[in-house]
Amino acid sequence: MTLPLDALAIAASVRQGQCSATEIARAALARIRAKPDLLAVTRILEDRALAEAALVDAQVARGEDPGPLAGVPYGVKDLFDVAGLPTTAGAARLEFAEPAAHDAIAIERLRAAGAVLCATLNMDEFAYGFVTDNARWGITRNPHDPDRFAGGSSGGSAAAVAGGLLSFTLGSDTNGSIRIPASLCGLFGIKPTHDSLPMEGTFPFVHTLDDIGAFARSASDLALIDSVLRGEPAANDAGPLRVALLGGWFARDLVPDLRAALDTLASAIGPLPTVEPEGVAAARSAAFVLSAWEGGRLHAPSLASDALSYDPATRDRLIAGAALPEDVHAEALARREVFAHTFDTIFARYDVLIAPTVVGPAPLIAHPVVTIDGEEKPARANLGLFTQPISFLGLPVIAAPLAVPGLPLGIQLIGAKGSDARLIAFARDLEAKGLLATKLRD
Amino acid sequence: MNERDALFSPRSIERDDAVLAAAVGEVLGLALPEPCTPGVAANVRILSGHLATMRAASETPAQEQTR
Repeated sequence: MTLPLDALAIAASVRQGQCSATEIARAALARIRAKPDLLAVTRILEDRALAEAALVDAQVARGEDPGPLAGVPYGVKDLFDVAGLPTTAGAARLEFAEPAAHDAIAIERLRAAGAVLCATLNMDEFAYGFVTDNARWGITRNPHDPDRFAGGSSGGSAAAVAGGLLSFTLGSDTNGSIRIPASLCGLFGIKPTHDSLPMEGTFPFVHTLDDIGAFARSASDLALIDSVLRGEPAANDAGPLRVALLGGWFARDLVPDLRAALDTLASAIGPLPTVEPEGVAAARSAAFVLSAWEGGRLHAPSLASDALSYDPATRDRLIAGAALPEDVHAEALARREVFAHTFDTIFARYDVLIAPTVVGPAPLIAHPVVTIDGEEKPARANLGLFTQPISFLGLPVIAAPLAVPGLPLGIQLIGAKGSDARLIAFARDLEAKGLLATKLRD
Repeated sequence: MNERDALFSPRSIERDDAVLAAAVGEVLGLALPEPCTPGVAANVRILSGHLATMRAASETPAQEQTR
């Protein structure tokens, strides 16, 4: 019997006694061990996974329902607290830190729903980057082309799902760290309405912008996982939606294949109006500055005492951010108020806005740049061109994979705050119509 | 203009890496290790550019069109 990998299929099989959670967990652990070259996994949690799976199997044997994610194997970005383990946040300097006393709340909710935690996953150090180039745990490879980045900072989380290691994973998104790797690896992901999913037990980066969310193999799986994390039922129907494309800033520098795919999508849904919000450049820069300001101050004491223990690519960004003037934080928040008003006006007329996630496919590791206005800029800091202005506002976004040949290309489905479930339902509709499709290397 | 504002000014970021990184160390009250110099200087210049973009924003409403 071939064991399923989709979360919905696994949970159904385990709940009906067609396969055991232990079989599923052993298969996941074997897949992780078979693909070490992805550098997606930082720690394999074999004992914990088998213990959790055994509990699920015991519940099934007693005739109890283990929950909607019964036996589904998953992993978490290495900034979620896992009881008994140091929370490294991708930092070598925390590899032997004091172990976490408790699981993060998100992990508690998943465990209560029957999910089985199998691994912690690679990331840019302290979540400050868009490529997952980690000085201690290496560069996570894109499962669709190992010469390319998986994206970041939640790159291990994306590669583990796209590479067929795990059924779903958790990551975090401050400026694009779920949406970018989801796009580059061909997955669904969610950056939820700010502060709508539990952050307790996660290592912070930029308190004002940080959120957690999931990577999934389908929009239906994403709906299930998100509903468990949220403790609310998923929406079955998106209802009638007014949809528009974001143009202007969000139409710049696109590779021809992505531009063509967006046109195809717009024709299939629409015709769609295009909205060109003003002030995007300033908003993106404000998000950039705000991140540097908060991240720099968070790490300033440690940098003062032991700067050389940091990943150089993170360290120097944080040091520069720590030196920013005090009033810059308030300036950035004032800029956000203005930009939020712009989007309030747009959401009075539309329910969903569609924008690209990244200008093109995953950059090559040997040539780590993204071309903006004809100029090559470091991918680590600049892949967030289209994602930073949106998360700056705390809006919910579904990262969705376009149904295209070749390397993955992704879009953002953006809604007003609180419309998360409706956005996921919209993604499910588009997936059912064949307009969105994950790319998986099982 | 205070010390931190001056650090990110257009004139300040024209200084060479060593001088700029030393100025950062002075603002933070620490001696930056030498390996930090080029990266810190580069990131101060990047942040200076973003500060200028953030502050130079025009405030016109969204434009809309149907294609």
